[in-house]
Amino acid sequence: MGHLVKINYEDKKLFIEYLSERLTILSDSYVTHPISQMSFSYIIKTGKCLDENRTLLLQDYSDKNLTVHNFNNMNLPITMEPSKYGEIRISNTIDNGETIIRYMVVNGDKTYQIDVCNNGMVNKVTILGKINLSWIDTKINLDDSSFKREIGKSTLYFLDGEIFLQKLQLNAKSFKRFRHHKKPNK
Amino acid sequence: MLSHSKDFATIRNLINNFITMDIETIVINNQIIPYLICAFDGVNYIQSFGLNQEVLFAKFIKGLLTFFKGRSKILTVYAHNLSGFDGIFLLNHLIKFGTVEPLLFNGKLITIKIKLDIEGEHYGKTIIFKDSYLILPNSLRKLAIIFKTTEVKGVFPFKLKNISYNGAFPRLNTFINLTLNEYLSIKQEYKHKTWNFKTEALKYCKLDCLILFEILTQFNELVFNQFTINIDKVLTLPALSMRIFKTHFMPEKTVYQIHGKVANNIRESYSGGAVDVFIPHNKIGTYSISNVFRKLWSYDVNSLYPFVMYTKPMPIGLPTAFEGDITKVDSNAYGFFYCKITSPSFLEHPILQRIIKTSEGIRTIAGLGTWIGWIYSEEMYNAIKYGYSFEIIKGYTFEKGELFKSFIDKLYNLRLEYPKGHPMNQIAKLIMNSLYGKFGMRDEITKMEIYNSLTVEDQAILSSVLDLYDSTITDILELENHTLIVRNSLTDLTYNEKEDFFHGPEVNVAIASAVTAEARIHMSQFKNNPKFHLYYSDTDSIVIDSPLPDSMIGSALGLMKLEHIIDKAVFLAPKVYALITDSGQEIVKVKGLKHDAISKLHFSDLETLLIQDSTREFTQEKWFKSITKGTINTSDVIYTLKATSNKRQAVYIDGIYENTTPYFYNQIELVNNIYLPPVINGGFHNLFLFKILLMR
Repeated sequence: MGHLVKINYEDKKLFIEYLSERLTILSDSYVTHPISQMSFSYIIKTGKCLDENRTLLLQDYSDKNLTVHNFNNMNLPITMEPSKYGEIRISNTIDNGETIIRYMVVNGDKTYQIDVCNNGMVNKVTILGKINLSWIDTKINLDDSSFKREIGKSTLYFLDGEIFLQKLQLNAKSFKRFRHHKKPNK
Repeated sequence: MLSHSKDFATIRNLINNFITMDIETIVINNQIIPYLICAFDGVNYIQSFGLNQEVLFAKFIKGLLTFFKGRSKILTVYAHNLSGFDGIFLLNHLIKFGTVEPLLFNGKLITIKIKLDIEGEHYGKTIIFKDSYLILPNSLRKLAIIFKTTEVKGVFPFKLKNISYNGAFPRLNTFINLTLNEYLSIKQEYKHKTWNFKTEALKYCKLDCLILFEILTQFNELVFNQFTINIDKVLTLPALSMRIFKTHFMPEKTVYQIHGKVANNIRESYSGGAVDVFIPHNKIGTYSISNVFRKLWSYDVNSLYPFVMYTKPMPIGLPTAFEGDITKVDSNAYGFFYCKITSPSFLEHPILQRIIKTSEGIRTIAGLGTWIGWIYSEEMYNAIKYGYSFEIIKGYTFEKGELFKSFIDKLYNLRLEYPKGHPMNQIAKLIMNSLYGKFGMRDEITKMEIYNSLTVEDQAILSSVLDLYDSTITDILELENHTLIVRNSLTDLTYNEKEDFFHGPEVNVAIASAVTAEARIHMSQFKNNPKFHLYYSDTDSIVIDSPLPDSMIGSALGLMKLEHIIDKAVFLAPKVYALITDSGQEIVKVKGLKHDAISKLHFSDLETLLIQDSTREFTQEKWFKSITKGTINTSDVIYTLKATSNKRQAVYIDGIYENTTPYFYNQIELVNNIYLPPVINGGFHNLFLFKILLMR
């Protein structure tokens, strides 16, 4: 489920909340098989962990005043405008052969890194921090607000803030090739 | 490479690791009773003769054990038609000799494996009985001709019921399908000899074993030389075809297993070819007066399924599920779609067919109306050209890719390389046509398990097994200290939690469905075509009233072959018709009737059935098999060929079956098993087309 997280004893409730958030991100919306067991490995250290290590647990998961896309109980903005993600703290231009404008946008406890590429046709969005969730939004039509979002194994198509098509790549096992027989059976 | 029987002598001296067997039977009180079993290992024969069934089979099994050579622990025994005949008798008798594992597929006994539990040197060894008919689906007589075996299959008076008979050569009426000339010629050989039942039966039975041995040896050699595959690795022809494909032609990571809900959804788009009667006869004018017939041309497509497999892209790669109208973002989206489908208000030959429940049972009908269902995208795009409309609700997309080109190329070239009479030509044809269906196989199988039920412990195990399998059990039978359980099984399907997919048999119904759909698309060019009238169509054939242009005719894959120019034709129902060709040849086809009964039918017999409410009866021997009881009984059954209707609405004019029109689904479909009569009654009493009714 994740790497080592430092918490204090009194953080139990927060930690459970964090786990449930984390779990919903990891599981895929099309997968319906129940979780049969969870294993925790832990170590107890003397002393208290610092607030900077506990920030993860203190996040506010609700994004208000935005049309949102609910991805495994996490609300993601339905827009390709960086300013609609929250308050733009930094924007700079990176030129590695291709010009990318990188925005750092803060909303509540979430910090989004939005790389606007291909003349605004493609946004590569990452939620920074331990959640480390990222997706790619691509404009479908210049004349309207339609765009597609590729997130995990899913692709969602939005028009005017509504999903009009969603796709999910399914997993399967490939057919196996056979080997030749070396000699005839006689 | 081995070519024909000339080289067979060299092979015959080799010890092949399979055995061939045959059972001879007589009919006593309508029950088929085995009296002779022979087997052959390429060098020696064993035999067991007599009517005491226990002794007969015990002696046979004992004889089989002598075929175990050296340290070999497995013996493979082929019977031609094990699943339909020999296996039914064998199964019950094998239980006494060890642990029996029969394998059933679609209610057919495909193989029987027995692990011997007898004291002595053979303890723990295995005998596997296989059905050679499932690999070479032709009669032994035909195969002997194709493979040019050293001996031809013999004849035997199957209707002679006295196994102790010793005397004059039996009468002609004791033989089946023997002409007078053939009879007289064989009788001549016995001019100065007595004819002994046992001697002749042994000769006949051993000859069958020898012929089957030669055929399988040749077949194995031919397949191995071309594909480096031994036939003992497979049980059926489609499995052999799949093995060849997977060994030599299938690209890595191209074809994926499809199971569960995705498979069930796509399976709803999977149906076969369209078979329909459009115009029932070719007489011009009033039927009772006229004697003028319109000339008809009958064409077949050369290897329709291999042709579409060769030329059309196939659904490959991993499926992507979607919800919404996929064509809004990809106008050429490819895959299987769940849609609301609306046909044009009228179309003479509807090109989409549905499997629906009617008051007459489940039917595949190409009708008109609006419905919701699954369809292959290319069949949808084709139907749009004919005025159908679609609202896509959800579905699965696939990558489009070439999959079978090299496979078909190789087999088609083998057919060109070897003359028509050569077995390789036939083998290539069989392998080429058997592949696609294997992709569409269901992942559910029938399992037969035999449990001991003698001791208390055995009974406790049995009881827990019954609890475990519960409602999946379809049959339970007590057999002398054993209990046989027949159940449907999906247990080979396991869920891989780590990688989130089901792992089971290698099936992919998307590919099978795409093949049959592409074939229907190809055939749709002959429907609603203003250049000619379509009288009849089958999966890969048409009968029309105008010759096709030369550009469409030829020997290449997918081109049309002229089968007949027809002077007179009567089409009563799918696969029920009579023709008189321009060369005067009379052709009568009646699905469900055996050769014997059809040979007594003439064009005029079917022609009289065009008259409304007319019927004709046939008596035919039918076999009633019971795998669980190990018996085959025979009984005469009356078949009635009469005027009923199930695919298109019959149009009668002056009491004569003159034409057909498509059905509207809302007139014939049962909704939740409740039959909804049509609001408008016009002609609905004529709903019944021609159908063969079975009457006991």
